[in-house]
Amino acid sequence: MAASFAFSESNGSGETPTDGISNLNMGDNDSANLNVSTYPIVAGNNSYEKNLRAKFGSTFTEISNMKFWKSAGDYVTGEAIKADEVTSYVQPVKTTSTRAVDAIPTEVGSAITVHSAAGGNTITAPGYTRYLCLQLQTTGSTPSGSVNQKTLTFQYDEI
Amino acid sequence: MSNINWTAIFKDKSELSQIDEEGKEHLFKEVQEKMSDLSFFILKYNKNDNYYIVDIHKGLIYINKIQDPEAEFISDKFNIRLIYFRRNRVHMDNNYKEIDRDIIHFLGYQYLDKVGKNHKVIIQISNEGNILIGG
Repeated sequence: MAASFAFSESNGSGETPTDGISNLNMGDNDSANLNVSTYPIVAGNNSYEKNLRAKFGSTFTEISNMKFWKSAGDYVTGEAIKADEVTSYVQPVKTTSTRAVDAIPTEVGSAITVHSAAGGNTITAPGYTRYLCLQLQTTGSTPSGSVNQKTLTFQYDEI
Repeated sequence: MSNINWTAIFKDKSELSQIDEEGKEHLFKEVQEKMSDLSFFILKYNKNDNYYIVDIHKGLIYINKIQDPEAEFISDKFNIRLIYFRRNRVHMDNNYKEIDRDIIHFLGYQYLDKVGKNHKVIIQISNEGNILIGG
């Protein structure tokens, strides 16, 4: 049976994970599946950090070669998405992140290498990956309104 | 959801299919545990009768039918080992909502030549059954 795959987002001071999130909208609130119209980001500010994990379930032999990157979509002026793998959960903040500090890669060749929760390169039993911490950052020159569509891709090999 | 399932045929002619006759699904781990006894590894595309077959003894890949055509150029190959995995790409749009998933099957083998150098021969098969050779 193929592995099941879902994204999980963690929020709050004590870490409340939400498995199988329906979106990863970034906004001015620390919550899963948030509505960007309710929590818009003011130009010059950042979104709250997102703590994202992949969750593999069902039955499989091995998951390996896990990668994460932005595969399509242009930024508007002053916009950036920062993303890094981190080993533990910390309550999200909207100050400039010290955990998501690198520009999210835009090619599979430079993609973020994602590890199992235990830090290995493979997953052989149902469970989570390490955290991917993301933050959308803007400047005062970022235009108002919606940003351009982007595509983020998570890759993994399975046997 | 994958459109391709595998079947392994071992030296003693026994077979192990990913989905057996009783509908039970087997893990690839069961093939790994008998890898030294593996003779053929077959991927079958569920939407038609296409087969993709690795001959572990000869180091050949057949598409649809074994020994048709007959192989005319076979170099010495030693320590032939199966290569098989499914590459999944989950794509999400700007709302980070899952919008698409690509599955590519990587099938082939690796071997040592007569001077001990390792070589890999791999084809990529899309979930729609299309094939890429020489990537």
